Amino acid sequence: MLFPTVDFAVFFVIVFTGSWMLRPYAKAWRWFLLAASCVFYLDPFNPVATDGSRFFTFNPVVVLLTLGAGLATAAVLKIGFGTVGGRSPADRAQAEALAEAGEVLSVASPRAGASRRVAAGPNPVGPDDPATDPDRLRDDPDLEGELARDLERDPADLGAGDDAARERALAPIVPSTPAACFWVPLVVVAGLFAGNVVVNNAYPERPDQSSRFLFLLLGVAFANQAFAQSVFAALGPHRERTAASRWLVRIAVAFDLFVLGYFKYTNWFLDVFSTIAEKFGLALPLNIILPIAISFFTFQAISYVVDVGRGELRPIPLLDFTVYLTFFAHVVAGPIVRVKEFAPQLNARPDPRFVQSAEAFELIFRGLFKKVVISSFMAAQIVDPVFAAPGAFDRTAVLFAILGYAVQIYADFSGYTDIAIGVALLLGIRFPQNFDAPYRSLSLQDFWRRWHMTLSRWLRDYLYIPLGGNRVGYVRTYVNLFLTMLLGGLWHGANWTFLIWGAIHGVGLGLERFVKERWSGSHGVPRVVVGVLQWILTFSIVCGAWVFFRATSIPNALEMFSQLLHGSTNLGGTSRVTWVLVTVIVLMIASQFVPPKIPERISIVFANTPPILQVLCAAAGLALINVLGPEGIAPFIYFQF
Amino acid sequence: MTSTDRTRAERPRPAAPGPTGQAQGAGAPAAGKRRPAPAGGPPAPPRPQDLPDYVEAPLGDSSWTAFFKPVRSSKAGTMPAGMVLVVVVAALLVAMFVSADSINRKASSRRNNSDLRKTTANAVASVSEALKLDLPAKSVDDAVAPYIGHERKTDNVSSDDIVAQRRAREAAAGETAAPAPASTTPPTTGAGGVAPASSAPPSTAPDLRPKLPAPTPDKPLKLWVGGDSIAYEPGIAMTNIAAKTKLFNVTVDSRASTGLTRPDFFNWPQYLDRDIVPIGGGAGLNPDVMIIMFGGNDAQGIPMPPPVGGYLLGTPEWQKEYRQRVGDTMDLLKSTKNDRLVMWIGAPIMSSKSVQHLDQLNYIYYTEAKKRPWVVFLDSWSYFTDPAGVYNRTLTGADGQPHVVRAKDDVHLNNLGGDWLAAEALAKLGQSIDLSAAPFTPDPDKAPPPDIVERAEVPPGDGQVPDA
Repeated sequence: MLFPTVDFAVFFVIVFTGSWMLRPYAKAWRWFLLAASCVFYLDPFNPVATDGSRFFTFNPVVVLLTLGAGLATAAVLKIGFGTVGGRSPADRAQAEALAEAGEVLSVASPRAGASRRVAAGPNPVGPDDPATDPDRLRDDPDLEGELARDLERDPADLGAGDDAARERALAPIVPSTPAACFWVPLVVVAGLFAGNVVVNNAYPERPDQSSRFLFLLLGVAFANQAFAQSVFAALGPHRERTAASRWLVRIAVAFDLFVLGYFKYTNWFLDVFSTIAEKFGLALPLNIILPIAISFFTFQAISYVVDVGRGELRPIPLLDFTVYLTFFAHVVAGPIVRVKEFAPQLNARPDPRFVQSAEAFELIFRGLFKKVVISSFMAAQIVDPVFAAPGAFDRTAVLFAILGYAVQIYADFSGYTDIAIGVALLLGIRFPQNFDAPYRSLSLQDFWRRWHMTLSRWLRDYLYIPLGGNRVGYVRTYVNLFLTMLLGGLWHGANWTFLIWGAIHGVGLGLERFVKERWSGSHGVPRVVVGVLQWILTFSIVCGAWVFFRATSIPNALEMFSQLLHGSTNLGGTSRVTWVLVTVIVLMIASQFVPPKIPERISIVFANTPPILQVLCAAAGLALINVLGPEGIAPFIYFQF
Repeated sequence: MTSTDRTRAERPRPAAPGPTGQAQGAGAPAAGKRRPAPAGGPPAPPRPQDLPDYVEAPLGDSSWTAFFKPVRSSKAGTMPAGMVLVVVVAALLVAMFVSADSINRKASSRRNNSDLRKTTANAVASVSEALKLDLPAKSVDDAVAPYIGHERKTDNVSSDDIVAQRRAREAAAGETAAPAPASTTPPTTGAGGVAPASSAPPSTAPDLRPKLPAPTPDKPLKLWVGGDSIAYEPGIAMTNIAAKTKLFNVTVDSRASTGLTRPDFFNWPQYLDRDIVPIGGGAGLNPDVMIIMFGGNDAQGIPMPPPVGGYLLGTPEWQKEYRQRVGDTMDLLKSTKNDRLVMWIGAPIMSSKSVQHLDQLNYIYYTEAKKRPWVVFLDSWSYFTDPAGVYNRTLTGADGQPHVVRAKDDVHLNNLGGDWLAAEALAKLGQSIDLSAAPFTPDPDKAPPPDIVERAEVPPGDGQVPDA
């Protein structure tokens, strides 16, 4: 299901109502959210363009994998902890001792968690959190320092003296009976499997078979929960890492990467090596469908297990973890939320009298406008035609197609995550900010603190730092930076173009670091001039790299550049560069320099108007978006990343 | 919600860990620990001792008048959940009626859309139209459409009316009247309706084929490629070829979900007549060469005004009506000066499960094209069948290697399929137009094997009424 659809509007009204009604009932509410997320992922009521075939795809591998994952979860829960559903007396005594020592892990203490990594706290809508600072979820800008500090932190500063947190820490990990722990995952899988059969039979025309991937999603959830539990059990008495825990984390990461790799990269890999493979008589090509959102949920699962392995996090209940991983607002395209941001919000009880509607409405409206109007206009007006046949357009058209794509991908992606954040906020759950005016950056490093911030932070914490960060020598720092960006590029898609995109950013970041180390300062040149030059350079590199991101192939990208540099100036196609297009591009880039206080004030003024006026404004806004938007919603760029 | 309602709605919460509280309000139960009222909030109403000490009900003021008063929450930027729900639902409903026309069009354009959705969208649109609620959105659309690349909307008028009006306008404009009705035009030889340039035309019939100047890089011809979404890939391929040869300025005009069966959604004949080839050569593109493709969306029933109601796909009535529309579309593309060439490309074979009666459609295109000297028919069928003559996503190219030439939906071509079809279309255009100024040879992987040729005759489809 996509956000800008009628289906989602209906879905959301139901979920909003149900969620606030069930919010006081912790378990029922979680089950409700899980069910809603499954419906969102399956999108069973969407009759898509089809081949008309009646099919039921019984994929034994996926089913066995899922059942195996469920069994493994159950087994770990049952065997790994002796008594399931409550702790063994020894465990409980240990937990009590730890709590006495003040060592309460962050997930058990929303307030403690709030005071650290996430500047604004994960529980802003909760009545317990006086320091609500809704929009300021940015991480510490220091790219490396934070995690290093985290690893060295003193556990005693987390949650000491917080009675509620201690209470939660001492609560059973899985609040249910042993039998339930064994059977629930199995029953869930079986039930959903039966549901899947029903869905497939009810909608035989569905060609994309995405329904079967719900099992993959749930399977990844169950498997990672099992890993997290076992990793946690393998940690030392003071949560220190042991050889066993390290190996378990490695296995878990390998499992997630295997899932991601199989579905995302097999086709590409085989395609790259097809000539070799054909010599050996291997049948090609394999046709593997990319499950929606696989990149996002595998990355989130990895972060969970790794955090547990680092002793920063106690495993959360399976139900909570599954809700977290499948939560409909972020499952398709992020933001990449962490367990330690999300789980405490499941425990918090936001006050239904204070739903942060002003900010949420603003985010949703802004997001819809960017996604439906701006992004689609850019695509249809100039980006798609020019990238499809660069040779047919003159250099002006090519230049504006490149600028247009920079605007398009920003409007598309940031628009979608704005909607996601707004939707979650209406349900009382706050996601971290994902974009912060990236095109105003004066350096690539700054750009990556502002663009897809949750991915940057993930790459920093789970790739760059484990590679050694900047602590393993001068040359290695550059190598690590490059590798991180290269793999970050590959994450976006299985194609050489994404690899080159990542490489450009990797080299760019390295050069930037090198230059700054030697020639920092303005050297007598006015700061404004330096700033403008830095902005132009950064924006040009970013836009140039986007060409590879958008191009269908490397020759396609090179043709764009060749046309830009050597192309004719009177080939035609300039008619596509209209004054409306130029105005929109200029305004979108200029909007990056608008201070965030201005929209905030507008939304507060809006929030104080009578509800009837809010209805009329919102309806007019939606109608306007519908009029200005295309006849059909263009597919979301990040939909399959 | 009145205070009585609220009292009635109170109920004990089920046993749960933590402090107990009571749900309040049917729409949004309250939760949480007991705590003092937020400072700055409105004064707490009198309440029984066992009520939680909420001072703001989930619906805000306990009166419907709250809907018309400024929101006064003790926390800036917040509203009670109940009020948010009312605002969201009301805004969606108002927006639905205001944009009903557009929603209805989108609903009807989706393939395999459920009847429930279509009926609902249609009903809402009727109400909206009756109450004139859709006027603001329509006027905004009309005002901004030219600037944001939205085409002007078309009306649901019949193709024969459009042709008749066009003839009348032609006569009024003093342009050369159209020649004798198309059906009386003597057929020419050759499978495509136009004899190859190299072969001599039949000596008895006058050569009625369009006379086009030979394009050169300095004087390229205007080429328009359009139709449904399948026309996109060959259109882009044609653009890429033209970027090399410089013999054509290409415009790609493919519109998803369109065809000739549903003028209520998009009326191709009206659009072509009004915006592409207008009388007098005014604001339209007026291309020299037009490549047009339909079929993928036309395998569906044709709705007709009452009392007919509609024709079922594949029936003789359906074939007659569809044939009429195809013929009318071809007729209105004829230039009065006979200087426009139309290439009608038959729909490529699709997966048997995708589109039914494609063979009927292709037979109609073929036979109608044969009657009109200004229309060349390109039969794409054999280029996209495997050696067994059936659909296959992967086919052997001119380089002898297997290539995937179809999209995953088994309906559309992929980029390479577009290249293949464009290569064949260009070769066929070369039989009618002198393209020697910049000969084009496709790369071996971007063309079907040279030994594959068009079918000599397009046979009638299953259940087809042969053309008289």
